[in-house]
Amino acid sequence: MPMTMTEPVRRKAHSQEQEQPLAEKPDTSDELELVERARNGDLGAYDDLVRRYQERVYATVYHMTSNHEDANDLAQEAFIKGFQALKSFKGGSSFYTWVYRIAVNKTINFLKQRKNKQQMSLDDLDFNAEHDPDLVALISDKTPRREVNLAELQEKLNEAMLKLSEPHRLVVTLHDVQGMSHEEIAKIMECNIGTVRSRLFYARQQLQAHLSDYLK
Amino acid sequence: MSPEQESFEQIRRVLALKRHEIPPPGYFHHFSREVIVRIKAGETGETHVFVGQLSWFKRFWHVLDTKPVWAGALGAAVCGFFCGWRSDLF
Repeated sequence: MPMTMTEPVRRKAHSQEQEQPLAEKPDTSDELELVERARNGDLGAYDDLVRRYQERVYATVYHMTSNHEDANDLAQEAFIKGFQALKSFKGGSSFYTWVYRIAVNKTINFLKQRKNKQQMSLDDLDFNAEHDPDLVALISDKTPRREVNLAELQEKLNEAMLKLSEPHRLVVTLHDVQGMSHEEIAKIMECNIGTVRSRLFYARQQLQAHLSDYLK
Repeated sequence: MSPEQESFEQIRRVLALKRHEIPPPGYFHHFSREVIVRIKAGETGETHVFVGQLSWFKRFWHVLDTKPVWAGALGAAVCGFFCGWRSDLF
């Protein structure tokens, strides 16, 4: 899929900010009460809900779009739409799953409208990237400037992700990047677990092919 | 470990890079407040329109709206045109 191959825009990350631990879920014991209060117009309660899930929703949308500005708009609009649609939230799933579904559907619709005009605007890597054991294992010891390799790898990885179809990119994002289980992903994507597994397998094969030059 | 599993293990390591991509410092301090402000302003969350879908006039207006320097230049050009056209009055 052709893309606008301009130099990706990068934003500086704060060296002390910590990435939210993989697959950590906020405490949801009071979520029903917050949802009920928000449904009755309590914006303070909805503000609590937004703050609970903002990082994870933003991260999912960002990994799908590789564009910070688009992720900002789409994530905000997902929460706005979530508030307006609260009356239709019947509690069959958690609010977390429900708002995720809104964000994912909105992002996929946006990407389909964009088609071949995707442009990367990458978030920068945090301070800990250089010390991640997974990444240290990948970067060649023979390369003197490890940080250059990481930046290049980040760009190539995002390009490879953008070559995947939206459903395949989504399963990789939710499972391999954000650590969700197959069951959780199946609920968000409203498909069965077998479909999640087969999409994940295919997506990894595609990424492996696109990134073969960077894999030892 | 089979060769395929080993390749997937490498992909898994590469994807770890994505977890280190984070937005600018302080980004999430204002996120929820902006959402609430937009809700209070009456937004419904259906406002993200791809510019390419708009009519030519709306695309033109969008450009002027987002780039005030161009709007100013266009205004100056229109004024210049009318001044030149009606130079007989001066």
